[in-house]
Amino acid sequence: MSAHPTEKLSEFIDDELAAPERARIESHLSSCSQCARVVDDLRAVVSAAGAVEDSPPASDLWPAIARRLAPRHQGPRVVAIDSRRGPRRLSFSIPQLVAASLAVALLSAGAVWMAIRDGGGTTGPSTVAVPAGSEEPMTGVTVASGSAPQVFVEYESAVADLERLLDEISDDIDPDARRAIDRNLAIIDQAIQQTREALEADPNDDYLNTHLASTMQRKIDVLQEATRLVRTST
Amino acid sequence: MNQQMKTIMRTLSLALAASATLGGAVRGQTFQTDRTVDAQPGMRLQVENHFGRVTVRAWDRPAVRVQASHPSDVRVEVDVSGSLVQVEASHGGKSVEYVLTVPADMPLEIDVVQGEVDVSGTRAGMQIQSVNGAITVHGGDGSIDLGSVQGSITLEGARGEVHAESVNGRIQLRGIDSGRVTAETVNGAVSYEGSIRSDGWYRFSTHNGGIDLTIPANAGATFTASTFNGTLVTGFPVTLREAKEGKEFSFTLGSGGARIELETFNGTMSIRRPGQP
Repeated sequence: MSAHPTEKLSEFIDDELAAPERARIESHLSSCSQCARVVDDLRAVVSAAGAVEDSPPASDLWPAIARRLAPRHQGPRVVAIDSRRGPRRLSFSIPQLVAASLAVALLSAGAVWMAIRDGGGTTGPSTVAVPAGSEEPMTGVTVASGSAPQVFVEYESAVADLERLLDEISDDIDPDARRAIDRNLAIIDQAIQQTREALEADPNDDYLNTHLASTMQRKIDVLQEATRLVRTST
Repeated sequence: MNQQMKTIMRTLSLALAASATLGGAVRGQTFQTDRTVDAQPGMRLQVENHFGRVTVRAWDRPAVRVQASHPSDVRVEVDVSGSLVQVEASHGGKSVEYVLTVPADMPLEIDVVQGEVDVSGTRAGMQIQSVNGAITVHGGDGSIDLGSVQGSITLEGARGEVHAESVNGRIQLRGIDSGRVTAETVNGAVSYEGSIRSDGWYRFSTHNGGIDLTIPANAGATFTASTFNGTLVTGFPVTLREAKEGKEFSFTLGSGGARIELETFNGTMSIRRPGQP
């Protein structure tokens, strides 16, 4: 198996694959650190979201978040974790759902790294790695699980990686387009900041939490899409 | 001015004139590519352009005509392979302006980094992405996916599943006949005028901007509307249920069949009937 089996990883951790396919994925994971880390992170998301028993049951937000994370035709497929809900009936708190949705976004970002890096002849995504001296976790969102803030740190790390990737191909980008990208990332940052400030006053607000997640996801989408468009058109 | 000086000045003038002419020719040197290839039913068109406008028009011939204006050192390639007609330029960083004429039922995939996209007259699905440039589409049928980072999106007279997404730009959807519509931007208004199907799902979202829906008077839909610092105005007689005072609303129109979600952090959400101010 030469290509990264990103689309199958969710089914893999849910043990929903037929034995031959599972064996193929296991074989791939044994030699692919990138996919192995994605699997680890996905398991961590499931674990973090399901671990906290004393959180108040959330309203059923996952469908809305999942829809916002729907795979786009251009990019790598976002791993669907809808299927994970059914029989397990996990009760996610709202901030956990935000964290989970961001983790899924990170998987998507990581897959882009894999695709682009592999195509470019270099190795290794650093998307889900937390760099030494990285920024403090985002504040303003109270996350019940102890591991959930890590997702926010990883989000920042993923964004930094994607921005660095965009910088690397900056010479190939029309200056006006590059300025537009920067301007729009700033607009998204401002929206994120405003939402975080609103959440400080009301940490469990359904709309604000999902809005924060979708806006953060949007930033990753923009970085991925801009990189893809530049790469394919030059 | 003595004779020697006159000669120098004349020579200099000629040199300057020649230089200006040559420079103008180099700067303005534009080549035209004009190629037509056969296109069988079921084929799709893929265009990648780094810099320059892409215009697409439809005709009733089973062929794709590619007209492009570009510098002389750029080669426009039109490749037909399997079910794909692929158009791209050899020098991605230089300006290429395309006018493409396609069968009306040919699906489109268009990627542009810097430039506008204008599509008219097609009856097919399309995926159009631009980093910096507006997208305007008249027509379309099927899966319609439009995304611009910096630029407005306008879609008129389309049928099918619609997804429109921008960061800094308004989204206008008019004359839409669809059971599934999503329109999302961060900074800009979102407007929708079109049908509401009883089994449909419609989602409109912005961070900073208003949302304006014009829907049939007999529409049946269940609405949820969320905001942080905005308001909701409806031209329909409804009974509002407030899950959170002033911030989260829900209400039902008619049979309540369709699902409509509205979200704006800052802005007014308006729901009106056709012709209603």
